[in-house]
Amino acid sequence: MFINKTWLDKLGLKMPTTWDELTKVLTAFKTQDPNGNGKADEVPFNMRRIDTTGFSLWNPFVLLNSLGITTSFAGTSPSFQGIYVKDGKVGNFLESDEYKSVVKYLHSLMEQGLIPADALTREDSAITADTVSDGKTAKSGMIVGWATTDFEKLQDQYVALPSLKATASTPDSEVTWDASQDLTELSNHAIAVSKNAPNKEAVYKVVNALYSEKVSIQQYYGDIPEDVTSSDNSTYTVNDRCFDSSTKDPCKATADRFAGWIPDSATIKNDKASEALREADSAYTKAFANVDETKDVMPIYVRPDVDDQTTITNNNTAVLNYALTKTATWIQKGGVDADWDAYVKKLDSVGLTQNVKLWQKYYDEYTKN
Amino acid sequence: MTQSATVASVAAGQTQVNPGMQDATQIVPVAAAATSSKRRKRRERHPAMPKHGSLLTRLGEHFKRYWQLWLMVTPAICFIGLFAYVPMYGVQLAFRDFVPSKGLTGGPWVGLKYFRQFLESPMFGNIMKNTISISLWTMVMGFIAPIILALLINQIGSTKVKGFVQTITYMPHFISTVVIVAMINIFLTPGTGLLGRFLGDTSLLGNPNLFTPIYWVTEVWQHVGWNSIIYLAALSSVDTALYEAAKVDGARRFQLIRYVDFPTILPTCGILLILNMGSVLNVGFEKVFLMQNALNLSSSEVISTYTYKIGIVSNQFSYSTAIGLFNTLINFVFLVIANAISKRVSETSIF
Repeated sequence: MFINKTWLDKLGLKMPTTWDELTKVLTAFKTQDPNGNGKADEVPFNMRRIDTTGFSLWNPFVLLNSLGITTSFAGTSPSFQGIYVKDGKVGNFLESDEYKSVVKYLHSLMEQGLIPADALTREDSAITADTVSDGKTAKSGMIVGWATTDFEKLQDQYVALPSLKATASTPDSEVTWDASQDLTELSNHAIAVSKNAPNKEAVYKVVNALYSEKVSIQQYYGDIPEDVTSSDNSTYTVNDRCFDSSTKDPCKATADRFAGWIPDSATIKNDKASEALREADSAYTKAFANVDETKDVMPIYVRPDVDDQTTITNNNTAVLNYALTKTATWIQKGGVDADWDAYVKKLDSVGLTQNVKLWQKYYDEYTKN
Repeated sequence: MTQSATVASVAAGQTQVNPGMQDATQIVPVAAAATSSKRRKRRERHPAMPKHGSLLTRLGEHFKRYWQLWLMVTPAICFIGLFAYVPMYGVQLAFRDFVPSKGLTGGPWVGLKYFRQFLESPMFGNIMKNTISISLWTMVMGFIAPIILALLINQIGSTKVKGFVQTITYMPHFISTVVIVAMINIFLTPGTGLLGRFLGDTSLLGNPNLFTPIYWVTEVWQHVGWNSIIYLAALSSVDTALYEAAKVDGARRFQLIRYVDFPTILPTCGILLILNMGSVLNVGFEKVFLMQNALNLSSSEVISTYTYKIGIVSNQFSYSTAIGLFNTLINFVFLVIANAISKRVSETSIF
C-alpha cells in the first residue's frame, strides 16, 4: 500500500495506523483539496476492481493482514482462491469473519465516496490514469501496488504505508503483511533440456553461457554497453532509460523472465526498480516479523496431485464465481450481514469445504519434515 | 460473421456444391432438360446416369459430363476438408484424459466423463441461461434490425445521401472488439461518459440485469449497417415495373414496402436466419470477456468464458474440449430444426 506523503504533510496529518485513522485521512484527502488545483478531483483510495477469476495482485483484500490472515496474492499461491494458513491450520478466508470485516470496511469507504463509486467496473487503464495522473498534479491518495515506481514521475510524493491495525485495540502481534514467496526461484523461467536431446554437450554449452554472469546480467537488465555499462568485471551500472516507461527506446531485456543467475559477487548500480521495491518492503519489516514462512503461509512448494488439483479447480470456479459476485455487490451496496449465513452455506455446498480439506492434506504432507 | 460464414461453408461442403449453390443447382436441371426431356419424364432419373452399368461407369459418365463444375468447387472442397474436417480428429480429446507428454491421442479413454462433469456442475444452469438469453436476444435483434435499415435506406431517393447513410452505418463494423468495449466503457463512465453522465454515479456495466441489453444493443449498433448490405443487394433486383404498377393501383409508400420490397427479400431473410441459428449458442468470447466484471458476473458468465477459465486458466484441456463440443452439438441441433421449419414454411432451405 502506498500513500501520498506530500498530501499528508500539507494537511498536517500523521501516517494512519488503524482503519479508522485511514478513513479520516482519506476523508481529508477528499474534502481539503490536497493537490491544490482548486478542483475536487482527488481519488482518496484508487482501488483496483475485483478480478473475475480470483484474488489477483494488488486487490484491496490485503487489508486481511490487519486481522491476522496472511495473504500472498502474488505468484501462483492458493491465496488466489482464498486459501490461507494460520498456525498450521488451513482455511479459506472467503467464509471468515475477517473477510466480512474487510468487506464492511470497504463498503463504508465506498459509501463515503472515498473509493470511486464505479471502482468495481473501472478498467485498469482508468486506474493507471489516476495513478500516474499528468505527471505534475497527483490525483491518487492511496493505492495497493508494487512500488513507488507505479507513480512514475510522481513517485517522490508517495511512501509505503505500513500494515494497518484493524482497530486501535488490535495487538501488534496480530498484524501481518502479504507474504508472497519467490516463485521465480523455484519454478518458472528456467531451462529444461530433454533427456533425448542429441548433441547434449553443445546444449550444455549454450546453457552454461546463458547462466554466466555477463549474459545473465544482459538478459535481466539489457545489452552491454547500450543499456548497461560495466566498469570492471563485477560492477555494472544500469542506464536510467531502462526504468522510463515512456521511452521510445526501451532496454532490451527479459527482466525477471530470464534464464540465468546473477551471483552475489556482482554489484549492480542504479537498479531503480529493485531499490524502490526494497524501500517499499522496508515499511513492512515489523509486520513480517509476525509471519512464520511455513506456519502462516502456504509454502509455494505445496502442490496437490493431478486428480485433486482438478477437483480443486472445478470447485473453485463455482466458489469464486459466486463469492466474487457477492463480494462486489456487498462492497457496492452493502448488506453483508443479512446475506452472510446463506452465503457461507452456499459456499460449502459448492465445494469450499472440500477444497480446504484437500489443501490441509497436502499442506500436512509437504511440511511434515 | 465468421461463425455464420463457417457454418455456410460446412453446409456447402456437405451438399458438395460451391457457395454459389443456387446457381449450380439451377444449371444441372437445365442441362439435363436440354439433352432429353422425354426420357427424363418417363424414368424420373438423371440422364447422365444410365440405369444399367456399374457404379464406376456411372461415376465416370457423371464426371465426364460435369467435370467443369467439379473443377470449380474443388478448391472450396479442399479448403473445407483441410481446415474444417481434418482438425476434427482433435475432438477425441473430449473423451480422453489429456496427458501432455503423450499428445492429443495418447491419453486414456474416459468416455463421457467430462460431459457428465459439465452437466452436473453447479454452474451449468446459470451458464446455459446466460448463454441462451444473450445469444437469442442478439440473434433476433441482429436479424430484424438490418432488414428494417435496408428497407429504410432503399426509400432514400438521392444516391449521394444513400451512400452517405450506408457508409456511416457500416463504419462501426470495422472497429475491433477490444476498441468497441473500451468505447462502451468510456461512454458509460459515470460523470464523464457520453451516456454515463446522465445515468447516476455507477456504471451500467455493474448492473447484472442490464448486461444482456447492453450487449445486444451495442452488437446491433456495430453490425447493423454491414448486415443490411445483403438485403440492399436483394432489393436492388426488384423490377421497377412492379413499383409503377403498384403506384398505378394506388399503393402508398408503406404499402410499396409491405407488398413489393418485403416479399423480395424474404428468401434472403430465410437463408440468413438459418445460418444464424447455427451459431445460436456461439456468443463471441472476446466481447463478453472484456465486458465482464465482478459485479455482473452472475449474468455474464457464458459457455465460452467458462471454457476459457476451465481450459486455459486452469489447464483442463479435456474438460474444455468437452464443453466446446457440447456447444457445437446444440448449435447443430438448432441448425437442423431451423432448416426443417424454413423448408416447411417458405420452401427455402440449405439442405
